[in-house]
Amino acid sequence: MVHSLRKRFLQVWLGIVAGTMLFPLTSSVGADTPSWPIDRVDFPNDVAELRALQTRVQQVVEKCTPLTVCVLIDFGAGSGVIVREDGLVLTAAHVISGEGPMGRLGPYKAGRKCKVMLWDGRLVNAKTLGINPSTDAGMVQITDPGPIDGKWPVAPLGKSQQLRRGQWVVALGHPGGPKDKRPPVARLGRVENLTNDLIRTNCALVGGDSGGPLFDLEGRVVGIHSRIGFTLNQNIHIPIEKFLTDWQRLEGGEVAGRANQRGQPFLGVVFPEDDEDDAWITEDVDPSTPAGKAGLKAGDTIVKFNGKTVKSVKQFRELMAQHRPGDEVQLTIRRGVTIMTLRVTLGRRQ
Amino acid sequence: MMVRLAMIVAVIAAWSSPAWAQLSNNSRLLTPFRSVVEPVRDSTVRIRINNQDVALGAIVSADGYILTKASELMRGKGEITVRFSDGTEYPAQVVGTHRETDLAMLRVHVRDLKPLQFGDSRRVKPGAWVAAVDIRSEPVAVGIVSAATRQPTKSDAQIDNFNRGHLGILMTSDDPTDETGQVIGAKIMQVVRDSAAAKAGLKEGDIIIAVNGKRTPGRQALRDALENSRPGDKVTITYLRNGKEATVEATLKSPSEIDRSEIQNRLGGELSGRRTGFPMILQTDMFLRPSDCGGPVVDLDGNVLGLCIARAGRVETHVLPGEIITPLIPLLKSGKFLPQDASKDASGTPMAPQPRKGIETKGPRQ
Repeated sequence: MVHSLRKRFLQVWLGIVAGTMLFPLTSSVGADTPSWPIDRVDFPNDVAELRALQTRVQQVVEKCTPLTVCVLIDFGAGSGVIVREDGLVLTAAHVISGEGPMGRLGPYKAGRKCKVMLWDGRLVNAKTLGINPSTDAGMVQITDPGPIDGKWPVAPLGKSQQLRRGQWVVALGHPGGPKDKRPPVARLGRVENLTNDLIRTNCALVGGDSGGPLFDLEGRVVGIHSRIGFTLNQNIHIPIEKFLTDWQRLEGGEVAGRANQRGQPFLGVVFPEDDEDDAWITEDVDPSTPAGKAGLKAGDTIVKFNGKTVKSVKQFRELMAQHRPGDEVQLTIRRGVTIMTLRVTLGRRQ
Repeated sequence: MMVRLAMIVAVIAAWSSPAWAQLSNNSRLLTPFRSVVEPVRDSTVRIRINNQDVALGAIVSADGYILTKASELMRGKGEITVRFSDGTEYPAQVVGTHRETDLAMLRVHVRDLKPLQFGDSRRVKPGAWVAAVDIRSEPVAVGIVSAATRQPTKSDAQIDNFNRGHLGILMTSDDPTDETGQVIGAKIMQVVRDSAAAKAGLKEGDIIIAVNGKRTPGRQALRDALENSRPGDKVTITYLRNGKEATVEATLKSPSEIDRSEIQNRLGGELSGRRTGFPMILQTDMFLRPSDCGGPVVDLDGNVLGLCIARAGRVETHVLPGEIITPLIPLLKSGKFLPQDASKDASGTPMAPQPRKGIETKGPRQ
């Protein structure tokens, strides 16, 4: 959906190994219950199996509810999960950056004060740490001491790359924003697709859930809720590994994932999530961007780039990468039944 | 306060695989629930109007009393019929409705029916399986308990018909009064951008005193005046600005045209017109159509937790708890709550459970 979201991290596998060593995995949920295997990918066959799965799900919900929080900043509300005893919270970048994803952001400032609402409605003080607008990963630090000798209860981290299609997962979060007397809301679903960049499940999400945790049936965080599509099986979570890759920069309050992009040529449009799809513009174009100034509009499909045929988002990106900011390029677009060619002066990604 | 709810709506064009359709209605998952719902199936009915399915319902006495979701009966005009699990179908009359719970009591002249007994929804833990029972052998939907039984608050505690037309204003919690203390109208606290009110030129501070010439003393009166309206309807608004009376015409909109979170909520299917203002709710993640509401919801042990009362949002379907329904059954049967026009407020009825006092300060939308 956004250029930057498709960017590959070649170091992702190393990141997982290095990252997991930093964080002790605390005890897991229901390990002593001989029940539904957490990596089972099919449906329960009878009531006994339904019961076995139910036991797992109830244990995850019970154990993970106190670790799931609501992040309140300015007039916005998202979700998050506590993952370290000093109150480190994982959330989504767009929850704390106050804007949509990449490209439309003003300069991000870490260290802004915000509030975290705990599962029982209590409010504690917190501040923003770093974000990665490309992956949508974000961090918040609770600044108040935790309830257990100053420590916070924490969710252990899992490995999303070990998930399998069809595996059962539990989503928690605050859909619709915080509500009195309502703890985090549980949803059960299965992994529908998995790539290095995202986990897609049918755990239904909605506004306010962003930043909330996706758990495997051991109660380990495997993803963070990021965005939704038009149907109920299109719920996208950031794989936990995306946090591990950027962990130190996020914790240090930096804006990660943009260094490689800063200074790169910039057009200012949003394409479909799938880079094999046609290069069509899925969202309104900001008139202040190069695309906006050139007259590109939502719904336009880019079919040629300087006369070369463009059949996919991927091809478009490859052609873009051969140019520099300030270059003038010719984009041939299809708008309805009309084909037209527009001149665009590429900008510089900030 | 309007809260911006973080969630990006992505366009994910290439992923629509029917084989991985909605979990809640996947027949592979529904099949093992057959034995769970079987004992309650004969106590479940399909409510139809003019041969169209409008709701499900639950038999609550052997001599033909049936509970269902009242507002869904407004879907069609014509004869209401009730179809049983054996396929037989009989005409039914509405003998009572209850506004707070949106329950309607129907009567069919059939004997020796199998009534169900409601259990206590507070005994079920979050994460437990739930199934919405159908007259067929498989449930219409299954899911889990998302949040334990609670009393809705703020805008969720307010009875609102989302299918009606909306002006798009927030009103002050204190209705404005004249020197004698009489409420004169409903005062606008905020006008929602691009709303019907904004298009009509209404402004913060204006006091709406009449709709289509009918006086609207207070927020509730204004809501009632729009109760039977539809998006697209033109209404004449009489208002006071700086003490001067003026009149303007406004074209009402649907909430999804006004509120961004409403738009997200509707991604994933139609929602019930009446989905807020219930005295208590058990929240589940079942996915079903509004016309599949009104029937019993059971847990894995076959306990009837309550009736499916609303498809309330993209992530939620609400159950009206059994412990709320059971004491209402004799009252609804007795004719105390005679069927009434939806625009009338039943809160004057002494036996009705009252919403918690002082919960609502400002309406979300009007």
